[in-house]
Amino acid sequence: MAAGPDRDGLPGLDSGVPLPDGLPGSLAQGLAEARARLAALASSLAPVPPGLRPVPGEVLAALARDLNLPLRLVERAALEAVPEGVPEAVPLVPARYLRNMRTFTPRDQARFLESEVAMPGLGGLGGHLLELLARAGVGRIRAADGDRFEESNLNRQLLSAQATLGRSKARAAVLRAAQANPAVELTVREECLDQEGLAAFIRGADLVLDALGGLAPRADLARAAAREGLPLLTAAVAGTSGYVALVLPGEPGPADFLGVGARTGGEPAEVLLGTPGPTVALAASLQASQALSFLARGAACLSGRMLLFDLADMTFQTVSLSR
Amino acid sequence: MILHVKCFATLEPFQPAGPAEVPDRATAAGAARTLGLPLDEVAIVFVNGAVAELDAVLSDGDEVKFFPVVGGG
Repeated sequence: MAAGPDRDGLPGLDSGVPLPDGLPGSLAQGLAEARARLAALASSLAPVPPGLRPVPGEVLAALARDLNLPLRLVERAALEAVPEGVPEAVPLVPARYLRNMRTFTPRDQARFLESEVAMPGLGGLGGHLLELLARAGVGRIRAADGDRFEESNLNRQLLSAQATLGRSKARAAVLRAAQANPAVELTVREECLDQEGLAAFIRGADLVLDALGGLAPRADLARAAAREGLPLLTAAVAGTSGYVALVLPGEPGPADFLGVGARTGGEPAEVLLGTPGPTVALAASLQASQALSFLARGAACLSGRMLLFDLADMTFQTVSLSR
Repeated sequence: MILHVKCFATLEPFQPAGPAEVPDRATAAGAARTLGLPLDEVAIVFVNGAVAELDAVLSDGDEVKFFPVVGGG
């Protein structure tokens, strides 16, 4: 069996965020073994456009069982394997990520699998975000929500269904993520966290995603992210309007301007105008898109900026939060 | 002078149909008052793509966006 390949010898690499090393010995050994076995398998995998060899999920699942490795690491091994016995260096990619390619490189995809995001909220934004991030292959997701589904969630919340009314949002998330992508390691907290709890929950994550509802919890999360020195990808909607912003540590964010409530003490905009499905799904999609850019490259175009949109007249404008 | 104004979410009822005519050298707050916007419902004002104070003095042709408190998800 060939030794584990040098990752820097891979085709199609960029100079983005480095992949972490320092896996525990047994896992590092397993990862190297998985890379070697997949590299040896390359000649049996036919290349497809745009120049990749898709590895079927069943092959990866069997290898994970055989080597007693998490599927997430076996998928990473495929992306890092240097094909053997084939004249041209056509990289392997787990078949489920084939349509991520060209937008992202195999190295980006490996980074997604090694990334860890913390996501409080499994309602409107959270359900769509979880779906998109799990399918994209973001390998480790922490989520928290203490709520149960009610009928008024059904217009927009992807995890809600007739059959899950009255049930825990966190448990619905576990079932859905396992169905969407079994390689994703999702851990859930079945509670709504206060500022202290949020700080502990997000600690050590690569990126914090604000999928909360309401102003007060968002302000708590913004303070917790600032305190932990973590980037925060936030979004909120009301009616056909919404915003998405990537707040870097030490920089101003929407929460600094929006505070914890309407200045008049009246009902918040989302209560007056509602939260229709298309507005919520768009905001979550924008967050997911920026999250993937950030995880792959360590930067995204909304860094320090805020996208405002209104679907009523298709206004989309990016503005700066620095004076 | 003329401003290009966009009012978001709950401020939409105050959206002018076209370019808004306001007194020369009006501030953002003055422009809001001319348009009938309730100032206590304006959370953030953006002028030409950057966040601005309510007392920022505006110029002819400025793009001004009024955003209320929004927190739904």
